[in-house]
Amino acid sequence: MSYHYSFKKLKRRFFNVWLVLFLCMTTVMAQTKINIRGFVADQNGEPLVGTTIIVKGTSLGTVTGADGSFNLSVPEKSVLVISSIGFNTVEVPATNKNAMKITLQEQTQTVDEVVVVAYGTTKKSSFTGSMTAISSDKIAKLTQSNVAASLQGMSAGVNVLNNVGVPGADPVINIRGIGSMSASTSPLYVVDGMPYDGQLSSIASSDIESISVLKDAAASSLYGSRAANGVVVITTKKAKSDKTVVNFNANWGFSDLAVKFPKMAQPGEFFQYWWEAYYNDAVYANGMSDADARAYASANYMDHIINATTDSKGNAIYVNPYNLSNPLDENGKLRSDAQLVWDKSDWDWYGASIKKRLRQEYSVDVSGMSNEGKMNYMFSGSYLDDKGMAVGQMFKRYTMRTNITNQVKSWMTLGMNLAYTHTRKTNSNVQTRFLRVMPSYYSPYLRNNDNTDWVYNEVTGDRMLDFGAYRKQWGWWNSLAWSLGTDSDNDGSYDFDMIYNDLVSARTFAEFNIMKGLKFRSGLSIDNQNSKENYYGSAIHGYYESGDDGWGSTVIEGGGSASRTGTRQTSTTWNNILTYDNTFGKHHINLMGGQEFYNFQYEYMYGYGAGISMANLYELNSTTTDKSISSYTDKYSLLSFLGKAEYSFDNKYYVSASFRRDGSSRFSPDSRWGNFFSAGGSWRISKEKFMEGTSSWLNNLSLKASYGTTGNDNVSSYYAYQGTYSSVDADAVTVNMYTTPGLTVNTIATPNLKWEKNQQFNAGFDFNALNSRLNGTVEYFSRKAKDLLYYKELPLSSTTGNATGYNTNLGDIRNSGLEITINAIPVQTKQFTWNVDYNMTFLKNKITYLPEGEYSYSGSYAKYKMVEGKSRYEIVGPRYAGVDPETGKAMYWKKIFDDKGNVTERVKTTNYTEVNTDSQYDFLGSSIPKVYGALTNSFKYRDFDFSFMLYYALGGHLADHMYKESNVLRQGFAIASDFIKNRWRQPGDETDVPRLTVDGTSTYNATTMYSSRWIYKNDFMRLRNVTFGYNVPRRLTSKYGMSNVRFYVTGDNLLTFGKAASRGTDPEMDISGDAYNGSDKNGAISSRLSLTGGIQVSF
Amino acid sequence: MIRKYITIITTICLILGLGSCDDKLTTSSSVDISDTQILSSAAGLNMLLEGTYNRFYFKTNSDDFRQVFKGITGNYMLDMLRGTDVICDDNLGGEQYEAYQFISTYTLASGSSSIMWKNLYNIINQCNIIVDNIDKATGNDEMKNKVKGQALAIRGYCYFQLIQFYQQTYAIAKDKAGVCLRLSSTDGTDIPRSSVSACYDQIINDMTTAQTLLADFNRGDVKYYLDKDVVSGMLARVYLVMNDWSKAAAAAQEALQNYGTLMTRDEWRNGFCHADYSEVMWGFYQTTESNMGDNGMFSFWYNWPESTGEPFYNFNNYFVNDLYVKLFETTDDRYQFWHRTDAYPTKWACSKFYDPGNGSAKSRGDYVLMRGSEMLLILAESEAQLGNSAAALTALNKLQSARNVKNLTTTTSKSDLLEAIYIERRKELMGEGGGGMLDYLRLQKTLVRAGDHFDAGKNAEIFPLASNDYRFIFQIPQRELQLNASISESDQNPFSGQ
Repeated sequence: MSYHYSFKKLKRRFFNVWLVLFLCMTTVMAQTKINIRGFVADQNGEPLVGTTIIVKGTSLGTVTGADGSFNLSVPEKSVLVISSIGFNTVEVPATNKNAMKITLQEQTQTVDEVVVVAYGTTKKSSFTGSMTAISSDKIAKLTQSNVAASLQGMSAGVNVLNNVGVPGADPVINIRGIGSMSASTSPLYVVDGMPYDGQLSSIASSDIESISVLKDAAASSLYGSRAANGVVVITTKKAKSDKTVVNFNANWGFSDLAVKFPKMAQPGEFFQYWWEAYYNDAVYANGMSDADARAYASANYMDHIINATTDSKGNAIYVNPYNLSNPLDENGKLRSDAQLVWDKSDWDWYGASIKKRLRQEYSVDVSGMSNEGKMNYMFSGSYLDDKGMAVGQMFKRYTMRTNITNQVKSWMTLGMNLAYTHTRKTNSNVQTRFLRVMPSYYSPYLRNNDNTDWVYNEVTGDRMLDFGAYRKQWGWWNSLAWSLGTDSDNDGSYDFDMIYNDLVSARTFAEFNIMKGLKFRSGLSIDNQNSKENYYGSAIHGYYESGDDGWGSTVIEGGGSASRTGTRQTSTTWNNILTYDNTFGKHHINLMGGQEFYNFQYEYMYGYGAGISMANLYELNSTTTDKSISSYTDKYSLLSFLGKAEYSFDNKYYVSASFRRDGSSRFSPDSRWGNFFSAGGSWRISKEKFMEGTSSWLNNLSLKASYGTTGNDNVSSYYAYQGTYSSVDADAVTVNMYTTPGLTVNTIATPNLKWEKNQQFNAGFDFNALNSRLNGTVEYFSRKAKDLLYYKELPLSSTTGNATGYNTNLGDIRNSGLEITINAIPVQTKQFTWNVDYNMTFLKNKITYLPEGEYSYSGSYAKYKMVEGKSRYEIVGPRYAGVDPETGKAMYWKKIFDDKGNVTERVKTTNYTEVNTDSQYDFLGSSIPKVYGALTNSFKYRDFDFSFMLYYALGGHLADHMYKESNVLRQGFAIASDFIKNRWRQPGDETDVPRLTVDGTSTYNATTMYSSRWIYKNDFMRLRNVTFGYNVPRRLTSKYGMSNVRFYVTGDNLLTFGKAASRGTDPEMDISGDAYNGSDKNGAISSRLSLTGGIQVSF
Repeated sequence: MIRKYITIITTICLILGLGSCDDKLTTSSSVDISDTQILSSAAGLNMLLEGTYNRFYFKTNSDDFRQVFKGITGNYMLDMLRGTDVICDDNLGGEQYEAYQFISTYTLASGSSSIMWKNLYNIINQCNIIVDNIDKATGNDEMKNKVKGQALAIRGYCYFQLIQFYQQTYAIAKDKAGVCLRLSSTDGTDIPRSSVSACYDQIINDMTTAQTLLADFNRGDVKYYLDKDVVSGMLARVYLVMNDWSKAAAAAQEALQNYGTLMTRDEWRNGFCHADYSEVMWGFYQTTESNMGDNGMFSFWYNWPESTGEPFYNFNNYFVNDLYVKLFETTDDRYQFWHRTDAYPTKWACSKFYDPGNGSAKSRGDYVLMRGSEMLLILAESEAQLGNSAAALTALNKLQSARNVKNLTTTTSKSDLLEAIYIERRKELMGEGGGGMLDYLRLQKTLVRAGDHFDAGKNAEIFPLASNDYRFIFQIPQRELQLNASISESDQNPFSGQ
C-alpha cells in the first residue's frame, strides 16, 4: 500500500519537472538559415544518386536526385556529412556561395558503420565490446511472424531455437551458451533505448531498422543486473532524408510442417502386429502351445485396442476400418473377405489437421522530414494474418507506429515513438505427439454402431467428430473439435480458446545540449500490455455427447464451460542520462552518467464456470456451476545508477570502462544492491607504422579485449527471498478446515539470496582485407556464471507445505567458445556479385562448481545428472544391449561393482528394474550443441538476386521419445511399420528390435524402456532460407514515380538434413533435448516450413 | 539564461531520481502472507495449525489421484488392504490394488514409498514451526497451550505412523534404524535415522506433553481437534504396540471415561459415517469445501446392488473375504453388512462404510478415526496379557453384548482369550485398524491368504508372508537418500527378507 502511494507521489513529482521542461520549450527563437545547392559525383564525374546529405549533429538532411543534385536549407556555419554506400563519407562546411561540387572516393577502407549499443550509438571501429549488428534488409528476407525468430543464423554466438510451429511463437534465444540453472536464460530486449516487456510478436518486422546483439560485458554491462544473458537491442525506423519516402510491402505465403512424420502403420498392419504381440506373449512369456497361442491371440487382439460395442441387431461388434468385426484369420493374417469400408482419408488425422493455409502480410510506412529537417517523422501501419498450418491456428496482428523527433530549439530536441499493436490468436489443440501416435484404426469422425455409415450432425449436416466412442485411449480427445470457430465467429458448437492482446508502447524523450559536447537526455517509456483469453468448452460436443435427442443439438451432461483470463502488464522506465563527447586534437573522450528507475506491474484475473445449458452462450454469466475466480498482482522494480567512460587516441587506441549499480526488489534489502562493471580496449594495429607494409592488402586489423560483470536477477518468483504462508496449497486448493481459515508454508525465507553473477571475458580481432572483399571477426569468449540462482530440492523429510525446496545461489557454470564471422566477396563485377557470410560458434558448457554434489533429476522423458565438469543438460540412462536372440526381449548392460564401487564388468540383462537406478546409468551425451552457425551465399546478377542460408548445429543430443513411441506397440497408440521391419520374430533371430509384445512400455516386458536406444546425436542442417528477387529497373519504374519495385519469393526451412528428420522428429528441440511431447516437450506442434511471395514498392 | 534553467532542472531530476526510489524496492506478494506476520502471533500459528489439520485429513502433497496415501485415512486403507479380511478388485487398478497385492509400490526404485514419507514429514515440519515459535508469540497462555498441545499430538501421531510403516515392529526391532527425528524447524536438512526405541521415546514424550498442555482444552463437539482424550487413545495404541500392557490399559481406561457408551444397533445400521455418535472419540466430517473427492473409503466400498436403483457412480472395488464373513454369528448386529451385488454375485459386498446421503454426498460421509470400542479391546488385550482374565472378559463381553453376540467369550486360558480378543478386534474394527497389516506386525502373526481372495495365483507367489518379512515394510525413498547427507544406501531397509 505504502509502496503504491509513494510511487504515485514520485510520478507526480516527475510530471511537475516535465511540465517545466515543456514550458521552456515554448520560447522558440528564430535562427538564420541559408539555402544551399550542390552536386555529388564519383571520381569519374558520374552523378551519385541517392547520396545522403545530413547536417552534422542534427537529423536535418536530404538525398541526391537522379542527376546527383540536391537542395537544402541549413543553419549558418553548418557542416554537411555526405555519405553513400560503397564510398567514403566526407564532411564539408555548408556554403551558399556557389553550387557545391562534392566528389566521393570509392571506398577502400572498411565501412565504419554507426551501430546501436547500450544507451546510445557508436562507431563500430571504436567499439571495444562484442556485438553483432543486423540490418533491416537481412531481417526483411525472412517472413517470420515473430521478429526474434529471424535472428537464427544471423550472428555468431547467438543460438536461436525456432522449435514451436505456432504463428507468432517466441523462439528460445541463448546468447553465448546457457548461463543459468533455473533463472531465465533469455536475453534482455531493448526497444528504442528502453527495456521492452511486451510480446516480441507484437513488433512488426517492417518497422525495424536494425537489431544489435550485445554479447560481452563491455557491450552489455551497462544493463547490469539484467544483462547476464546478453542484450538484444531493436531500433525502429526513422526518416533518412527530407524527401518523403513511402514503402509498401505485401506478401502471401503458406506453411507446412518442416519435418514429415514417419509413415504410420495402416489398420490391417496394426491388427496383425497386435495379433503377433499376443501370440508372442502367449508362447514366449506364458509357455502356451502354438495352437493355444493362436487362439489366444485371435480372441484378444481386437479387444485390447477397440472398445466393443453392440450393433443394431444386438451383436457385439468392433467398429474398425474393415467390414468385419474381426478381420484376421486364425493365423493372424487378413481374411480374404476382409474389405476396407473406410476411405483412407477417414482415418487420416494428419491430413485433417494440417493444411496449407494462407499467410498474408501488408505494411506501409511513410517517412520524411519537415520544418527544414528539424522534424523527422515516420508513420507506419501493418496487417498480418497468419493462419498457420494446423486447424485452429490463427494469428492476426494490426500495428500502427509513429516515430517523431523534433528539434524545437537548437539546444533542445523532443521525440516520441508511439506504437499500438493489437493481436488476436487462437490456441490450437493440434499437437505433434498426438498426430504421431493416434493410430489409423481410429477415425476423427464418429462411425455408427453398425459400421455402415458415419454419424451426421443433424443441424449442419457435417460428419460428427468422435471423442473416443470406440477408442481404448485418447478418450475425450479430438484436436479438430478445438477452435473450429473463434469467439467472434463461432458456429455455436465447438470449443475455442482465443487470446487478445493490446499493447501500447511509448518512448518519449527530451534532449538538451547544455554546452558544446554536453548533453542531457531524459527519457520515459511505458509498455502497457492488456491481454485477455476467452475460453469456451462446448455445451454441445464432447465425450458425453449421446445423440439421444439428436446429434449436434443436444446439450451434453454438465453443459458447457467458460473461462476468462485478463492480465494487465505495465512497465515504466524513466532514465536521466548526461553525456559529454568531445575531441581534442587526436584525443576523443566520451563520458556518460545517469540514473534509471524501472517499475513493473502485472495484474491477473481469472474466472471460470461450467454448466452452460444452451448453445451460443459463451460468457461467464451463462455458467451455473463449479465457479471459481482468482486474482493477484505482482510488482517488481529496479533502481540503477550508471556511468561510462571512453577514450581514444588517434583512432588507434581505444579504451572504455563502465559501471552500473542496481537495486532490485527481487532481493532482500541487505543483498539487493549489486555492482557491475566492465573494462575494454582495442588497438587498431593496422594503423601502426610497422604495419605499413601490409597496407596494400590489409585495410584494417584491430585487436580487442574486454572483461566485466553482468547479473541475472530473473529467478522464478518476484519475491524469491521471502518466507511466505499461503491459504492455498500447491494445487491451488484452499487449506481451510471447513470455514476455519488455515495456512500452509508456501516458501522458505532465504534472505541471503543474491544476484547470479556473470564474469565475462572476450578477446578477438576484426580484420578487413583486399579492399573490403574479405572481412570478419574472430573472438574467444569465456563466460563464468557464479552463484547460480537455483531452486534446490529439500530431502523429502524436510519439505514443508508447498515448499519442496528453496531458492539459493548454487554452483558455477562456465560457457566458453570461439566465434568466427567471415564476410567475403569472391566475385564482384558490375553485373555480378557473389557474397558469402559465414559464422560459426564453438561452444563449451560446463558446470565448474557444484558445492552440494552430484544431482540427478528427471525431465519429461530424459533423465539428467548435474556433475562438475559436465554440461548443464547431461543426459543419463541405462545402456541398451540389443535383443536376446532366444527370447526376443530387450537387453541392457548391467554394471557389476566391487566393494569400492568400481565397475568390474558389464553383463547383459533383460530385467530393466536392475538397470533403472542411478548407479547403473551412463552419461549419454549433452543436449547442448558443440558447434553451430550459418552459411549464407548471396548472388546478384543485373536486376536479379538470389540467396540461401544454411543453418547447422552439431554435437547436441536428443532423447527422442516421439520416435520411441513410433516403435512401441501400445494400447491405442500408433507404430511406424518401417521402424519395426527387422523385429525379432522367432528364437535365433539376431536383431536390435525386440519382439512385439502387448504394451511394451510396461516394466514386465521392458522392450522399449528409456535407455541409450532412444538417445541420439542431434547433428542437423537446415536450408534456413532461400530468396529469389527481381528489382524492376529504375528506368521503368521512375516513369510511374516509383524509385524501387522488387518482386521476391522466399522459403524458410525448406529442407532439413540430419538423422532426426529421418526418424520423423524435428531436430530443433527444446534446449534440454527432451523430445517428449512436441518440440517444446509440452505438446507444441513442431517448426514449420514456409513459402512466401511478395512485392516491395518504394515511392 | 534558459540553459541555466536546464542545468538546474537536470540537477533536480537527478537528485529526485537518486533520492526517492530506494524505498520503492521492497515489494511483496499480493496473495501470500509474510512469515514474520504468522510466526509472531498465536493466532497466526493457530491458522497454520488449521492448515496442518487440513493436510492431516484431506491431502497428499500432489493431489491428482492418491487413494491409499490421501490424508491419515489413506494409512488406514493401506493397513486394511494388506491384511486378510478385505479383498480388492483390479477393476480400477491403482494404488489400492497395488497395496492389496503387495506389488512393489513401496520399493525404492519404482515405487511410491515417497508419498507417505513426504506427506507425514510435511505435517511434522509444520508442527515443528508451531512448536518452535508458539512460546515467544503474542497471545494468551490458554491459546498457546491449546495450539502447542495439538501440534505436539499431531507430530507424535505422525511419527507413530511413520515408525510402523518404515521399520519392523517395536518388539523385535527396538535397536534397528527407525525414522529421522525432525524436532525443530531449524534442524537443517541432514538428519540420520534414529533407533526405533528413540522414536518411540519421542512419540511418548510428544503425546504426554500434549496431554498436559491440553488438560483444559475443551473442543466442544468439533471432533477433528485432538484433545486430551484422543491423545489418551493414541497413547493406548502406542503402548499396545510397545507391549507395555499396564500403560496401555491405563490409557484406554482414561479414554473410556468419556466415551464408554457404545453405539446402538440402530446406529450401526445407519452407516459408519457419523462422527457425532457418543462412542466416537475422534473423527471428521466432509463438506463441499473440505472433502476427499472420490479418493475416500466411501467411494471404494460403495457397491450396492444395481437393483436398488442407487444412482451413485460406484467403484465396486473393496469386498470382504468369505472366511471373514464366517466369523460372525448371523444374529450379530455386524452381520447385516454383507450382501451380494449384481456385478459381483460371488463376492461379499460390505456396507459398513456406507453413507445414506444422496448423490455425491454418498462419498462424503464422516470419518471415524477412534472410538470407545477400540479402547475396550485394547483394555481387554492388555488385561489378558497381564493375566487379569476377569478384567479382560469384562471389557470384551461389554463390547460383545453391545453387538448382540449370543455366545459371549468365557475362556480364561490366556492364549485362547487373546485369540478371542483378536477375532473380536477384526470383527469390530475392520477398516479401522483391526486385522490389518499393523496387527500382523504387532502380533507377529504370519500373513496367510485363504478364502475367496482375488488373483489367487499371484497371491500364491507371496503368501504366507512372515511377519518379520521386509516386504511389509516401506523402503526409505530414493530422494531422501540422495538429498539427506546423513543417510546412505547402507541405511536402507532391505527390499525383502527377514
